[in-house]
Amino acid sequence: MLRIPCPWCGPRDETEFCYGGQAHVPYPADPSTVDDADWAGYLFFRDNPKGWFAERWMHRAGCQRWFNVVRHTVTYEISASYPPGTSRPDVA
Amino acid sequence: MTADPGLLAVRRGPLTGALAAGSAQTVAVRDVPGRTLVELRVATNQDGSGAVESALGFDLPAAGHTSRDGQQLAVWLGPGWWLLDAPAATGPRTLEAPLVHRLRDSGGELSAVEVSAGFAVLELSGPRAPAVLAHGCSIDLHPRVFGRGRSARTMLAKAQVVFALTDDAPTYRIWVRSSFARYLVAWLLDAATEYLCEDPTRSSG
Repeated sequence: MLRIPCPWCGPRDETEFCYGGQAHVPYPADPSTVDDADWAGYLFFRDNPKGWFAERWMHRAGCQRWFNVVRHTVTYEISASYPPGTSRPDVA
Repeated sequence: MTADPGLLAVRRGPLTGALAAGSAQTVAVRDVPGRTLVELRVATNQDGSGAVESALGFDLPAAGHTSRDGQQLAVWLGPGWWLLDAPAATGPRTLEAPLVHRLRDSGGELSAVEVSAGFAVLELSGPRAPAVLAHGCSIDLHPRVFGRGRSARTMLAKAQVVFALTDDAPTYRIWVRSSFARYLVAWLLDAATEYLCEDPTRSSG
C-alpha cells in the first residue's frame, strides 16, 4: 500500500484517498472556440509516462481536500506533494 | 428555538444504555451522551478565524490539534474546518448564535451548523487504549508523536472517525457517525478483548 503525504494531514494510507488522474489539465480558456478534436483531447487524452507523473489525489477520509502528488509510475516513489493551484515543484 | 430542558432530559445518544465495558486498569470504552456538536467552516482565503476566535472566547487549533476552554473542545478537521464539542447544557444556540452574529458583522464567509444528532461520542481510556486503537488505524500513536492535544481524522477499522487525545490516562475521545457507532463499539470491544482479560479481577478465576 502507498503511504501518501497529504499536505495538511501528513502521511496516510492509500485507502484514505481517492485518485483524480493527471494534474495540471487546464479547462479551455474559451470553451466555445475549441474544436472537437481539442475538446476530445481535453476530456479524454492523458499522458501515460513511464517515470515521474503529476497526479491528483483527494484525502477522502481526512481533510477532504484535493492536492497534487508527483509519483514515479515504476517505483511508486513519491517525490512531492503540494496544494492545488500551485505549480509543479522542480523535483525529479 | 431555545433548548427545551424537557427535550434535553430525554435526549439519548445512539449508544445510551448499551455500553459499559472495561476497567481503568487496562482499557475502558464509554459513551459520552448528549454533547453539543457544531461544525464550523471558515473560507480559507480570508482571515475569518480571528473573528470566530473572539466570538468563541478561545483559539482555534492548528492542523492536527485540538484546543479547549473548560468543557468546550475544538478539533481541527481540515483547512478552515473545525468541530466544536460542548456540554449539552450549553445548547446549540449558545454556540451557534455568537458565531452567526459575528459573521454578519464581519461579512466573512463562514458557516456554523449544529451536527449533534449526526455523531456519537465515545471515550476509550486506560493504559491499553493506544494498543486497541492501533489494531484498526495506521496513525502513529506513540506519545512522542501523538501527544495530548493532538487529533486525527482517519479510518478506524472500517469507520471514518475523528479522534483526539484529551488526557494522559490516556483518554481518546472518538467522534463517529451515528450510523457507524454500534459497529465501531462492537469492533472496539472485540479489539479490546485480549486486554480486558489482563484485568486481575477478571483473570483471577
